[in-house]
Amino acid sequence: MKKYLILLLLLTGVLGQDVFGAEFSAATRRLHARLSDGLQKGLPAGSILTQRERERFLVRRMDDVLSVRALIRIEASSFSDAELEAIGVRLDRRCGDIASVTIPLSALTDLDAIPSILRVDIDTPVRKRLDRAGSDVRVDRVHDGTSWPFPRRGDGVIIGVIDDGFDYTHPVFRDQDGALRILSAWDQRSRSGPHPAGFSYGSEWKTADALLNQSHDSPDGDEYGTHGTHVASIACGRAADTGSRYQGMAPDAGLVLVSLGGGAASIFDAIEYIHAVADREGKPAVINMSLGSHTGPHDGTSILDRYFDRKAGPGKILVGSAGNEGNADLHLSHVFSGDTIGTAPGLYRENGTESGLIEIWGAPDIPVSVAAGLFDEATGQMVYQGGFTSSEIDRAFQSTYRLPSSGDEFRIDGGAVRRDSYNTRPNIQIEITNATEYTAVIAVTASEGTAHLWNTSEEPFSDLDFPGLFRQGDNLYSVGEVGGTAKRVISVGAYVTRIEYESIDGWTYRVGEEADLHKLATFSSRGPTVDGRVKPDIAAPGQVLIAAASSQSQGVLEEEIAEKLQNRWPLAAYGGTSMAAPVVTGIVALMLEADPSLGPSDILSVLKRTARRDAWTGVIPSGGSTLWGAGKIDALESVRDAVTSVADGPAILPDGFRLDQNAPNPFNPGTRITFFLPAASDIRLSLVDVTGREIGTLAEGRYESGTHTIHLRSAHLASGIYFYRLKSGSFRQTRKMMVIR
Amino acid sequence: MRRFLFSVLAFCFACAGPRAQYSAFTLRFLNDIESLPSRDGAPLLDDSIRDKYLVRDYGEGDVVHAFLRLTSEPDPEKLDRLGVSLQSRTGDLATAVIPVRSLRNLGKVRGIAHIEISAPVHKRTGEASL
Repeated sequence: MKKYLILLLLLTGVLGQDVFGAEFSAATRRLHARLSDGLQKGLPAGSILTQRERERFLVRRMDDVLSVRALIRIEASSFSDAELEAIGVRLDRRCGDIASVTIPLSALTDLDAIPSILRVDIDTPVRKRLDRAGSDVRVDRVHDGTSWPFPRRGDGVIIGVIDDGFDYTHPVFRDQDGALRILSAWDQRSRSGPHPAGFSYGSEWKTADALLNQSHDSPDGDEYGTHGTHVASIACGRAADTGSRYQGMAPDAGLVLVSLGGGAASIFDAIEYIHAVADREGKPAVINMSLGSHTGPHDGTSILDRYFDRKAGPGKILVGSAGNEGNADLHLSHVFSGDTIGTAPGLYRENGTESGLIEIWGAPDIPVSVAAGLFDEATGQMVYQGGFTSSEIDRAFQSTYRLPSSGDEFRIDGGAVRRDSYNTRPNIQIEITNATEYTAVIAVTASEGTAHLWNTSEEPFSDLDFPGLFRQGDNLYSVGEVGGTAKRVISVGAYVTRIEYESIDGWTYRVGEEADLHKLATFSSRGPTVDGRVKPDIAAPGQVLIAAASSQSQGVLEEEIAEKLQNRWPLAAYGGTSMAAPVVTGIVALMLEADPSLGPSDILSVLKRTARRDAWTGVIPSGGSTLWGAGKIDALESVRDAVTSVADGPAILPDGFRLDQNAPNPFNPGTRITFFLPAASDIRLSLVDVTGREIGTLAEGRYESGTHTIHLRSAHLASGIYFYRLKSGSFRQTRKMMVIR
Repeated sequence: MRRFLFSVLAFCFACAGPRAQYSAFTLRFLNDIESLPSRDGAPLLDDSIRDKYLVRDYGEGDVVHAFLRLTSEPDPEKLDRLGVSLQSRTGDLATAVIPVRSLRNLGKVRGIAHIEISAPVHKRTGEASL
């Protein structure tokens, strides 16, 4: 009886292991069983699986061999790489007893013959979402094609990111075949590689090998950042095949990265660089700038804003973050009539000394003057008051005061411009350095007109609880320069879609209250601009988002990390309008995929038409709100609208291709569609209905250079609007036509 | 006598040449470096000045990045002599890498109406992050 029981137990054990030497995950077992059957019948591995099975098991062609990726657990003491190589399995990475491998389909059945392999888990599809932001803006439905017959994922569009802290190796920046989607990168700080053509600084990396060899951009001082990785990942990070649950907005878009090495002028160069790459590739580009400052007139006339307005155009879209100063009270304005106002600017304190820079812009052609002094909050008395300096001096100025009692220094460094050549307004910058025990205060006066002050230290202006003497700042006009004030830059505010997340340290971190959900983030900067335009243009999820972080950065804390891919590449939770801007950037990429010729005014019109208004946005005026812009972005409606309201203007890329308006139009019973090819090309001319569904092919194949005309009969078409779309290489153009009965 | 005075004035203007407008930030930078000791005509900058005004050294001495607004094509030879390297150009707007020692003299080059050295920009994560 005992012998019988032992035999039964042994048998059960063998059956329980399904005859596998190693433990196989359920998906691995299914694939193994499927392949075993076919291979036993002598079929080639590539012909055994259906297309659906290939998708289910994430089968990819790698080095021309159909393969799957897997994580394996090994017996480290007896494992040898050579055993894998012998059956054609590639060891990608190894960390202790866990390794990632690429397994040719034909080799999967051989794995269980290697005794040192303890477990095999092939990659399986994971639910892709960018945090809760993805479903909130309904971009997941654009990716999936749910309610929308054409899945759109940013294919054929370039996303440029001007930032720093890029990790070129992060798996989210690869495509479904494992190839790097970063087309090129310009590290403006680096001195180790060639400059990009036309520039005399920084290093350009143009190949996957060069980028992966660099692995990341150069540090800012001693510090490797992560901001750029997070921003780029939100815009176009890819979750599939990486093991991550968090996907970006346009996961098939190409990337061009510029690590900013300087200030505003370097942004100008960065845009030129990205546009040059986009032109070379013949693709439209949307550029993300999660950057800003409060140095400037905030009226769209700064030199950089003027540049932006020139560079934004068809297929060239710029997106910026509105700013995080919505609750900073860093702005102050006053309508002067010869009076004087005082305020105490918050200053940055370090080693017992406070410092900060105040930016003052007067009314056009009306001089403005400023004085600085020291105030004793205990007695309510001024301790020292400097004289006024007028913008009329049109030069730099400086003054130093030492307290008689201690010798402590109070120093003013300023620059005055009588009349800015672009907006005719006077400008004074005053930098305060205060090592005394008293509070630095300033006074501003003008004969008339409105003057605006910004504390560029992003600290509040305070009345020090002496409202009769001093003025409190406000949060109006807190949209920043760079991302917030240009006319043709899409400026993005932030709202809350997540208030907690689980970290890999096992704790759940709460970053807000239940009541905060769906509301505008308190930090999201407010408009309008000084010239009265509504900004931001749109709001997007920005508090908080989980996306890739740099594996190189020491600044990524464990409690911020929500996932770690292959035990190396983190995904972390951060918030800010920096995170909201790339949500919009990615959605714009989806719109450009639909119509590469869309310009900034087209995009803004679509965003305004399709923005969501809800209980949290409240009623938004027709001209927009200085908190929300047009409302909350809706990816699904934006892309649908971008397709169905295509402009009838010419496509821009590349030169020479042309799709003419059909004639007659509207038509019944027939119409002519004419297109021009500059060279012999493979083309596809398709017919699309108003939902975006392709309902027919009008022409397909290789056509000679020159003009071609296709005749379309309306017999099988119901009355209504249709589109016809010409694709040839990177050229795409869509036109609208109407059938009448 | 009056004609003579006019001639003198005209001569003075001609000698002084055109003068670009500097932004407030640029004026402050020029003021800050004016009193510093120099070597071979280049001011010796400390780290606080470098950080504040984004001064870079690409191997050929201290430089700043700047916007230029142009009213006409500046003489390339003069720019070369000053070590100024134009980077990007769109209409009348351009960017340049300018040796710190040449910043003041660049304002005298005909065709340059406005010089604005690059002011720092900040990433917009800040307080919103954890």
